[in-house]
Amino acid sequence: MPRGFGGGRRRRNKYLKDDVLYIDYKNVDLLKNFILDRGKIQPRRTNGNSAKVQRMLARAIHRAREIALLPYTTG
Amino acid sequence: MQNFYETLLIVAPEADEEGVSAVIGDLRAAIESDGGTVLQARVWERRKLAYMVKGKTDGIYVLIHAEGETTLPAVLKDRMKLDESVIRSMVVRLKDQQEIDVRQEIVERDHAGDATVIEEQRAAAERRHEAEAVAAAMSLDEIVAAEEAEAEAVDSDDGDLGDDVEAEAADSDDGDLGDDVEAVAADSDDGDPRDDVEAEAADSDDGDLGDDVEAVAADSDDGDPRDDVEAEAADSDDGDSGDDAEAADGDDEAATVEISPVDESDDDVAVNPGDTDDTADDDEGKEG
Repeated sequence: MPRGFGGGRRRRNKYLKDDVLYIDYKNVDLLKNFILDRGKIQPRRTNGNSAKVQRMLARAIHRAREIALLPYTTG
Repeated sequence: MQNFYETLLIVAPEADEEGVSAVIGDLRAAIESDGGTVLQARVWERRKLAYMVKGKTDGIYVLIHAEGETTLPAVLKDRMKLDESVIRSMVVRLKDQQEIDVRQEIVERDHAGDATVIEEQRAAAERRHEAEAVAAAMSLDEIVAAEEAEAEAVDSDDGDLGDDVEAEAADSDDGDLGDDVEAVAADSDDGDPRDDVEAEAADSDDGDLGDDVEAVAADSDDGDPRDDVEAEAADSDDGDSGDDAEAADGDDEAATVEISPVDESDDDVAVNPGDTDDTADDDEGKEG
């Protein structure tokens, strides 16, 4: 069902529930699902994360980058 | 108070086993001299780095968990900076559930196969955590209770955020955000965030037909977000026949409600209007 720009029903996140308590920055396989191929963090509008989950996710990704588990940028 | 710290560091890939354990031993000593306790210190993984660090493309990740005072991170950072073979490091404080989980994991690793020890440790960790949370939880409960009493609203929410119910309105939300119900309206929303029902309107949009209302308006919405119903109008736009304001509407499981209805479904509870759907019956209703 279209709704405004973009259309389509809001995508629900298939990797993370909204009630996760924390996201471990060492869990690279999980975090990789939320970065774009250039290494950027996927926006909330595409993955349907709740604000809280997205914050935790962003923190985890930033930490993982710091310790060379994830790239800051690719290509 | 002692905090729980996790240290992850990268040792240069050339280091042999001895070199790595020398680094670990060094940090262990540093932690203990700062008054901390090492719970676990081990090689986490040898892996390729996501980008080059000090000219290296891979590294040996070492993971250390320790308890210590707030001075500990600084002590560790200083020590690791001096060590040439440590090419990158990070110290992070873990807390709440993550701390519990990591502690548990450490115990399991230490006592692989020894079930009783694991169970004891887990229970101890939970008790500790609960004790910490008790004070906060108590005051929180009081606040919640007061709020509930104040507003004459009933909100039955199934794991959801963003309900906004105002006085004398009940909102039952099944997995959706952004409901906004105004006074004396009941909104039962099954996946659509844009219902907007105005005063004295009841809305049951559960793919059900035959909502019927007298002197109040009912909106039955089947996936269409743009219904707009105003008082004293009945709209059931489900491709169904027999909608009629101020008239009885006979449909499968429909209900009619007058001024003070009771809704027995788990969806809505309202003061003035009533809304029924799938499972509900009505009182003062005309059909069932």
